Amino acid sequence: MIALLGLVAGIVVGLIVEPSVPGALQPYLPIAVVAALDATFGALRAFLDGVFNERVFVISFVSNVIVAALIVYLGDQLGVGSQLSTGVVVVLGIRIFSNVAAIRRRLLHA
Amino acid sequence: MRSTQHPLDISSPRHDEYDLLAILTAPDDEYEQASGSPRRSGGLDLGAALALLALLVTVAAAQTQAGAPEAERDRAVLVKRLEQEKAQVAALGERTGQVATEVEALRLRTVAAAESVQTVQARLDELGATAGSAAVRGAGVRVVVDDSADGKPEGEVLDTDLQQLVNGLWQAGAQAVAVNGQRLTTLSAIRTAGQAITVNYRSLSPPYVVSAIGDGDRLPAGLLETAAGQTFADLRNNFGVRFEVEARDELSLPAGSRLVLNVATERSQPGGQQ
Amino acid sequence: MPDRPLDRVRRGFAARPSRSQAVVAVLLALLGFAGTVQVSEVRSDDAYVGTRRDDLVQLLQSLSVAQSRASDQLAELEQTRDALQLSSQQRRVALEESQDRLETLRLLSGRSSAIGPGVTITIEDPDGTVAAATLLNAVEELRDSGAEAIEINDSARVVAQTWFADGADPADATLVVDSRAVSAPYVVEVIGDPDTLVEAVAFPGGLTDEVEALGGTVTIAKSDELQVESLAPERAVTFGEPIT
Repeated sequence: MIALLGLVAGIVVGLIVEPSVPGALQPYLPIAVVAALDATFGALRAFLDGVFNERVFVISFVSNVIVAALIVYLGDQLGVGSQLSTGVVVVLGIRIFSNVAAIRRRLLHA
Repeated sequence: MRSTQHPLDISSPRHDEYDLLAILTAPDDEYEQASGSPRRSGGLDLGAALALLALLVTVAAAQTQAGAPEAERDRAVLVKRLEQEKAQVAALGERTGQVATEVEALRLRTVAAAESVQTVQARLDELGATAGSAAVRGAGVRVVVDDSADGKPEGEVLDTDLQQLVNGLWQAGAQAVAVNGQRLTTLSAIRTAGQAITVNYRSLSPPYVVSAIGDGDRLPAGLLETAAGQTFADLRNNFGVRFEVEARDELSLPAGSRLVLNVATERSQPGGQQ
Repeated sequence: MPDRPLDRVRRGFAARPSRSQAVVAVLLALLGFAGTVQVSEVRSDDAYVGTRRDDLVQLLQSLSVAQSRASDQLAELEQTRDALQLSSQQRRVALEESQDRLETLRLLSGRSSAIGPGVTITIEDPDGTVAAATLLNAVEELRDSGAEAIEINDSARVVAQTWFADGADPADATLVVDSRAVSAPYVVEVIGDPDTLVEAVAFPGGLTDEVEALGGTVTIAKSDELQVESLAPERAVTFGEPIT
């Protein structure tokens, strides 16, 4: 699957290039990664349910990342950056967990 | 059909619409919804979405890049100051530990020193009474001697007579003696200078009052048994020398002065210092 | 028949690359890249990776407070230490003075051995004519001349309370000093200024003249270092007490 190869390629490039993240971006990167992970797991669940749609995946991937970053950025301006960051990560974590649970149910019951 | 139950009524069957946790943990059905209305013109939507994404990312990146150097410096400065403060606090902590140890050692020394002071003071008090450096008060005997009333040379009290008298008092058990207010110490001498008897280099004039602290019951008799006592008894009987011995309950002897040693020092030896 | 998920997975692997798969691949590549970068950031040595500026500022503030508190505490401790050092110093000086005083009193009381310059006076009494009164008078003359420690026949230490009496048998050439018998020749060791002491004995009408008149002899020897070793018994004033 090209998709998996894409993932692997991204990891390899990251390991080789080893860029350093500019200071201002540093707090947002982990948020973006978790948001993207949430979209990815959702896509995986959909794929196993047979309803995967690449358009939905792209939109959910992009919007998750942007919205999560926006929320935390807004929080930083308001002075509650750490707290909102925690909140976003918690919510995304819950969603990842429930997607993974659905995936597990699908794989074991099928 | 929506029921009209209160949203927060948890007994309601439809309460999970408002249950935050349920909402959060409910699986996303965006894929299911999307498959219900397949839009094959996905290419346009996809392209539009990607274009929007690219635009947003570019703008955000440009913004961040613009502010990046300053933000970077800001942050670097902060981090440096943080490290400095941490180092300072650590150094302070170490120094505090050192000083605390010093204070503890000093406190211990204070306790030990206090004990030493007490020991020395106690011994000073003990020795002071007999050596004559401390004034004493107590019971004893008061002896008054004076030249005979007729002024004859045989009736004159000499320094040797006084020496004998004091010697007799010591022999009879006196513990501290003073002559006309002059405390007798190891350095005290009873001598003559010109016409007057001197004690501690001070001239005295008769009558000579010799106060002795000791057993007031036994001293008078004890004195008379000594050669000195007998000598004075004879002097009184034969030449009219005044010689009175009286037991007393309240005698006060002053401290001696000039109790200073110029050349003698202690020699340490086994059992040498007591 | 139901489309089993594992069948779908197998089909996915077999399918030939399509545009949609390419898009997914790109996004997953981005994910992989960003995730790797973030992981390596977290592993780096910088202790403050990802901390927001506000958090850093807050940390700095609380550290500042901690530092000023620690600095105050240190200043206080140092003050205490300085005060303790000063009083310890003062006490040490006082203690030294007391110990000097104690040494003096011990020597005066005859409770410790003494050493110093002085003279040794030897009184020969072949006829047993030297009386206690002579010795007593000699001791008074020596005291008058600055005698600081006196010892007779290496056994009797002479202090304030020391008394002299004649022996039972006058011809015996024995005297009693503090209940202790001492026999001629009487060797009197005296610590003090040697020249003054010699004068005290040798002056006209002094000990030498007296003893020679009685038929005895007196010899004096000066010394730079004389030892008065015998001790007087421990005494106390039991019928009175010190006035403080």
